Amino acid sequence: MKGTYLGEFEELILLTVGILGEGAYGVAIKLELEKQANRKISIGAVHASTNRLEEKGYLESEFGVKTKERGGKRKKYYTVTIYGQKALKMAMDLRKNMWAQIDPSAFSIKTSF
Amino acid sequence: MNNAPPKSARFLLKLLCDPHFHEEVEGDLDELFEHNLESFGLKKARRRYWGDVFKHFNWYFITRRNTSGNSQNIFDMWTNYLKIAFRNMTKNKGYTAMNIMGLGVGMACAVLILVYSLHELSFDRFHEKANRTYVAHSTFTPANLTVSSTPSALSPSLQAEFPEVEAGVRFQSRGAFNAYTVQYKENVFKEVDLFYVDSTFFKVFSFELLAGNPETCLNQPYSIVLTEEMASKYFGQEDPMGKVLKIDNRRDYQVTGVLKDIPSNSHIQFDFLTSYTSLTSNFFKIPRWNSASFTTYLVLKEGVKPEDVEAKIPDLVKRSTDEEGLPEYTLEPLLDIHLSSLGVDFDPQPQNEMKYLYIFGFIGILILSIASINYTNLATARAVFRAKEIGMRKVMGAYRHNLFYQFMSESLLIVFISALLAIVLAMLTIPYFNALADRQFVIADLWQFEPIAGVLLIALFVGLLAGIYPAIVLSGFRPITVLKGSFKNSKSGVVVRKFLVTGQFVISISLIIGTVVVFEQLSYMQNKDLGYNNQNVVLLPLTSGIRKNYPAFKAEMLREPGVLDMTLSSESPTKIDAGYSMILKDVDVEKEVMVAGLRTDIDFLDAFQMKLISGTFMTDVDAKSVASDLPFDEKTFGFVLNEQALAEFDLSAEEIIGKRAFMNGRNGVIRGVVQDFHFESLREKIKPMVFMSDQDFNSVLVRISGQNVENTISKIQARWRRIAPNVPFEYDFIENEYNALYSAESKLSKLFGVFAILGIFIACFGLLGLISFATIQKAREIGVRKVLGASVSSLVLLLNRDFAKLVLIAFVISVPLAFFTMNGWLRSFEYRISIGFVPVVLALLMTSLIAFLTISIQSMRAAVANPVDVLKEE
Repeated sequence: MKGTYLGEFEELILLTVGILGEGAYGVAIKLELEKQANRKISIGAVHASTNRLEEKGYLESEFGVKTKERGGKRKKYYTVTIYGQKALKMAMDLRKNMWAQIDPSAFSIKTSF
Repeated sequence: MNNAPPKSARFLLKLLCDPHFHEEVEGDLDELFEHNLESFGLKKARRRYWGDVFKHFNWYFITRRNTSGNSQNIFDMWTNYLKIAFRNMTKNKGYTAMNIMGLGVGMACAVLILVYSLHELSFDRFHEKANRTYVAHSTFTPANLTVSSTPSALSPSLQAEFPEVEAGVRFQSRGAFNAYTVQYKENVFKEVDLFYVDSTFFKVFSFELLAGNPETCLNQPYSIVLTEEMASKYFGQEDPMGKVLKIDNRRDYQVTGVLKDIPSNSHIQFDFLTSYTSLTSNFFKIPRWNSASFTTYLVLKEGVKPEDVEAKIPDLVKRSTDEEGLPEYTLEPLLDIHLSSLGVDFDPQPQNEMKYLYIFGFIGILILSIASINYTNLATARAVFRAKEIGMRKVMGAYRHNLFYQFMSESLLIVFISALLAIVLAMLTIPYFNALADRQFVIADLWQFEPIAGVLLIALFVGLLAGIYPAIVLSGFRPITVLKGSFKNSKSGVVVRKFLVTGQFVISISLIIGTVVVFEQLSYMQNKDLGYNNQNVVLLPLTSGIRKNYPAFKAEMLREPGVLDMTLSSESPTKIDAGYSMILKDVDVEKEVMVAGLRTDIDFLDAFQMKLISGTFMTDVDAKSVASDLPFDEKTFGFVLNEQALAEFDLSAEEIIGKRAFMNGRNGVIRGVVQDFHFESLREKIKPMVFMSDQDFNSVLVRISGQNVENTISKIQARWRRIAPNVPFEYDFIENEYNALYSAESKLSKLFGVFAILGIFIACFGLLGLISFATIQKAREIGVRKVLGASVSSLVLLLNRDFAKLVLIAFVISVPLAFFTMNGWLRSFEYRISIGFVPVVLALLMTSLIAFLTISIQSMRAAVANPVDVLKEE
């Protein structure tokens, strides 16, 4: 079904937004994800993803209050929608399901949840 | 504030980013900037900021989105228009191809004409002082004859006496009939384009010197400056500077400069310049008013009006000389020379006339309009197929202006694709165009700013013009009418289409008639009885070796079986110079008549098979007297007049023969009168003309028999070699020289022919489109008629009848139109054809044949189709 597909980066963004809870806006997402995944992430990529995810309905957004920080520009806070949560769950289930079918003896590293 | 993100990056972001995202993006970037500022410092933070800004410039952030529901989503709409336009184009490939071909061919013509016209208009503009440079002309009052030959005293006197004159230069050449022999070691060539010029040459003209000093290179006697091309012709890879060229086997000239090749848009074309100081005879050294073989160019100071200078010349002349009968001197702007009808004498390149540029341009516009009409017609005729789409769009809320823009953009799209095709076609056809226009354009000439900008402008103009009518008509359909299902094109549309088709054929037919008329006049001029026989006459230059041994040479030559006759003259009979004045003595009132003059030997009349009306031609007595040692003014010359000259003196032939006459320093007796013959182009009326027995000859004219011409020529060459071994053998036929007088007309006839064919071709494209459309619309009618027993021929007739009517109407309109225009053109010829039935009949036959072939193919197909195929669907 078109629209339920979740890219790897999109999945990570959704998860990060979930982790951050109330405080998930662009810079925070970038910094948190960089910390979690231990890789460099461009703010442009974050913006592209969050906005696309919002179009797909996985995220919803709300502007925060105007403050003196950031030259008076409001932060845009994201939260994961129910639909987004479902998509994340489906992605996780898919993975779990597939992991379960792997014969543990075939992998040399320890693989259990 | 110093610690801020780069302003320009911010500005760029604001400019390009969709406002929808802007606040979020900018806020986050600013925050990151602060963050980076603390961790890495200002420089790195700014660099990162820039990097981040650029990373936002992808389709996703730049594409504008609708933030509110009520504004039009213009971008999507235009994408849709384009998409629909392309779908329509691919759906009807034949129709699209016809449109694009027609427009492409039309625009290719326009581009080439544009390139040509720009080149013609650019003549001589590359000289720095071009806008204040003038060439001096002499006008002889009684004869009202203007030439560009001026006395040698004109330029020096004007420069000395008039402070308004900044610089001046004189040109002197022996002319095309008296080539120079130029030699470097074993390289010997005949050169015509060699001029003696004043050392001030480079003060007047800005020809580029590759080597040598423009200030000094023409100062010393026996200095020579040559073009790059000549340098490599004579010296190959060697450095030409300082080398020595031998001219006429007499004098050594030292090369003091090398010129860049003369640009093709210079009216003066030359290969060599030599210093004026090399001319040592008194005739050249002392400035004279009674000479007239110099071309004078003058540069006036900034802001000086040429009229003011002209007005002061007569006074100056009066002060400087007692000479009587001097002409009036006038100044013609350098920039006018190329496109004015008056060519400069020594100029080997045919000058153009503004008239021909206008004709070119006008024909270009005609061809373009034929192509545009095709688009308009086919687009409106096909409106039926678009009617449902238009109806739907309107129902879905499209305004009329939306649809108008849609159809306009479709026509612009087609026209711009055609423009690309036009450029490709123009590139491919440049060699043929060069042959037609007698120019040397290369593909690089097309890729200049002006032609490309011109093509785009033409495309825009054609697109708007051709598209506006269909756009108005199509956008005006009422949704109810078109969606009800019984929509047929309106009557008014049909009338407009018929009108436009008629217009196309008016243009095509007129072009054909024009072609035939120009062609007829040309062949009339080339075949007219000129009063002398110009067939099989070979023109050779007279060299000093041959002059010395002429009687022996002639006797030897006449022994050759192919050689019939031989004579000497000053010029070829196709271009006899005017500018003599003859005063008749032995009459009550002396009368002076301006005449053209030709110096010939006594065999000339017979060699050219001219008719003597009365008296004799010049005789041995005259020849002997002239050849004797007597001083010039005591010799007795023989004069022979033509009928025009006789008429000017207002005497009968019997009365005038035997009378003494005086002609430019020569005393003589009138021996006879010859029948008028054409010694200029047929544009000119035959002028008064006199043969004289002066022996200052330049050319040998040999009449040969028409058989075995090549063999005879090679025999003449062998004889020539024996007498003048170091002079190259170069010859021409008088007939070719005569035909060269009509190079403009022959160019025009070819041009007209090509454009007429293109015009017909494009018009037939349109016709084909219309007829195929008509047969689709009438398919059921044809089916029913066939079922009821109509024959194929009657059906073809039915379909063709409408179009036949249009061609006939076009014919009726175009015949008087073409007659009127072509008669105007013919009036510029003193001797001309009258337009008879031939052009009209030819045009009618050609047009109808092509048009009927075009439409019959389509109508035949419709008429032979099985009626079941078209009727089963209802």
